[in-house]
Amino acid sequence: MAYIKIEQSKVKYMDIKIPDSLDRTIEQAIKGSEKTRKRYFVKCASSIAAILLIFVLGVNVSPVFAAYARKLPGISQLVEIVKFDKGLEKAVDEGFVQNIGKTVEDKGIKFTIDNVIVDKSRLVMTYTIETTEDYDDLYIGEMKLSDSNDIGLETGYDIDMAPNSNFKEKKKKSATINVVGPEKGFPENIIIKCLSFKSQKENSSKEIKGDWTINLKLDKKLMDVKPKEFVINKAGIADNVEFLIEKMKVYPTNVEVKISMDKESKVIYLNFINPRLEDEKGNQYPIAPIATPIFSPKECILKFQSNYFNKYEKLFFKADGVYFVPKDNDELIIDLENKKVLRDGGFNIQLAGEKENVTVRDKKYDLQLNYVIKDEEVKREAATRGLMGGVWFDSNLYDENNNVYKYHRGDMHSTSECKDIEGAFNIINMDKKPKILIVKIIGASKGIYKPINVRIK
Amino acid sequence: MEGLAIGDAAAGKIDKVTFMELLQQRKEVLYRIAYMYVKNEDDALDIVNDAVCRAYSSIKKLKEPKYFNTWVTRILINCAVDYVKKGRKLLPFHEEIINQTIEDSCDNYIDLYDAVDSLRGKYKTVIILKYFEDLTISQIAVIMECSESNVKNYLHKALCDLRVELRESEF
Repeated sequence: MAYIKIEQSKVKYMDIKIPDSLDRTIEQAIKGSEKTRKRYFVKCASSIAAILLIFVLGVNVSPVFAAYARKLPGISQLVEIVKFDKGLEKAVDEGFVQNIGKTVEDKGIKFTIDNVIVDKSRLVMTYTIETTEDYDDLYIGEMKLSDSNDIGLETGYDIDMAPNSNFKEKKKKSATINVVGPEKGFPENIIIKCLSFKSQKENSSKEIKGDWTINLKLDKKLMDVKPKEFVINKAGIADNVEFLIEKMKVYPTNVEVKISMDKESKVIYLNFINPRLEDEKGNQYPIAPIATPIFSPKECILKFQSNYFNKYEKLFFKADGVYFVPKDNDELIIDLENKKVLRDGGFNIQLAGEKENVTVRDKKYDLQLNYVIKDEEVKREAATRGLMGGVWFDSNLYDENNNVYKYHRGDMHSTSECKDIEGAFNIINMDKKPKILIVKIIGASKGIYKPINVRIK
Repeated sequence: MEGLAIGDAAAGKIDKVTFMELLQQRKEVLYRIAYMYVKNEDDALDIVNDAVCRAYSSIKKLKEPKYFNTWVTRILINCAVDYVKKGRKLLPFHEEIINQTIEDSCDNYIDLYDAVDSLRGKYKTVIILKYFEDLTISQIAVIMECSESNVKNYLHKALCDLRVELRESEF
């Protein structure tokens, strides 16, 4: 007979590392069950070796082909799928599309990549899933994108899960996978590897693991299409916030606009409210539905739906206002000894209790620091625009000795205006309790609400 | 506003904000329990994902927030058991390994953290809840939706399977 020492096993249990992605998983799960357009954003990772099958279906970007392309079966359906992005719709219309039509089947699920629309900055694949099984709905579960050497693409992608496609009756659905172009552009050969699907039946979901691998050879002609580049260097202003629209790159799939701020500027982390491009005929090109922009203090690159195939004389950059963070006050500093917020960037952030926990293992120290954001403007904007958090923090926390801590964010957003936004920093495994905690504020839903209109062409 | 719609539908019982708050307090426990079934991060996150999805979509069924923890734990355990049952991630832990573990440990102590991998279904659940989450027999009975005597039976059977005797530590 053997014996068990419970407390040792329990320490191991308590030591199970809580991954940083837990919050994201929860967020996604909730979004997934409430949103009509079910999308999620995943970082590509490297994938397992696969045999490379190369096949090419050339597409000439010529009017002759365009005329031919419109007659191709499935193109009208393709137009239907990409309707969420007017730029893509136009691109398809102009024949800027590569037909793939490659199907793989495993576990009774047929996975097809129908077409791709691609240039250096963006790749949009249209896919179809089909099954004879009796599922209420079916989604792509895990997917990996890699190059021919099985190295994961250094980019993010976004799958439109198309939950409202009446799958139950049709047993088939089509939607898009949106991939942001890596800095170097896309490799010619891309391996798309689906590792699982998620099926839905009577409120219970289950995962179907398998292997659905498709090798794509992207058409070089499409990828080599040079963007139309414009140097703009025009200043825009909203009250006392000045910014400079530096340049614009017009790709067939999207338009990149680079905006920077003056060194002297009193604000950083500019976020435009409802930014869009508009031509003289009043055609609007909103933000392209691709991955969220990365925060950077002094500049941002906005990606708009493309106007590559449109004819226009004038082009305007418009927005309803800007959110920003004051430059000399962009930190949240918390005095843990006196339980006081020393600086809060002017966002009225207050402590809402802390939970301390000295764990049994090596006297490590865990801290859960709750806060509330009481600023009326931040709350109102977060509620009306459905922004998580309302104030966004950097992923590193520092103490008085400049030690770095990673934290699990416990953001909760309030959906009604009157309620405070609550959140928490959960830090585990500290050697001792810090006296002071400092974290950078990298964005907040507070700013100037005045229309911005800058002519850029 | 998304939150309100849910609040209304549930006749003011529990809205999205409350759900998020309650979930935040419970998430680490849920993750650890999920982890015990699969012993790897990806699968544990998958289970949490399934559980949160299921919980959120059946939020209406929760009568009062005070039962949240029990309710969400039950959902998570069901998801974990389903996940393992589908043969997706069976842990390669069999009796030989248990024997090995026992033999290897010269002082005849085995580690319940590893040993629990050899158990299945209810037996595993009952061990996790009792010895890792420190719940009482009656709390476990509520979560597992069975009688207290059933819980005791499962517990007894599980320990027999492990062929161990429990020596609760004296501090």
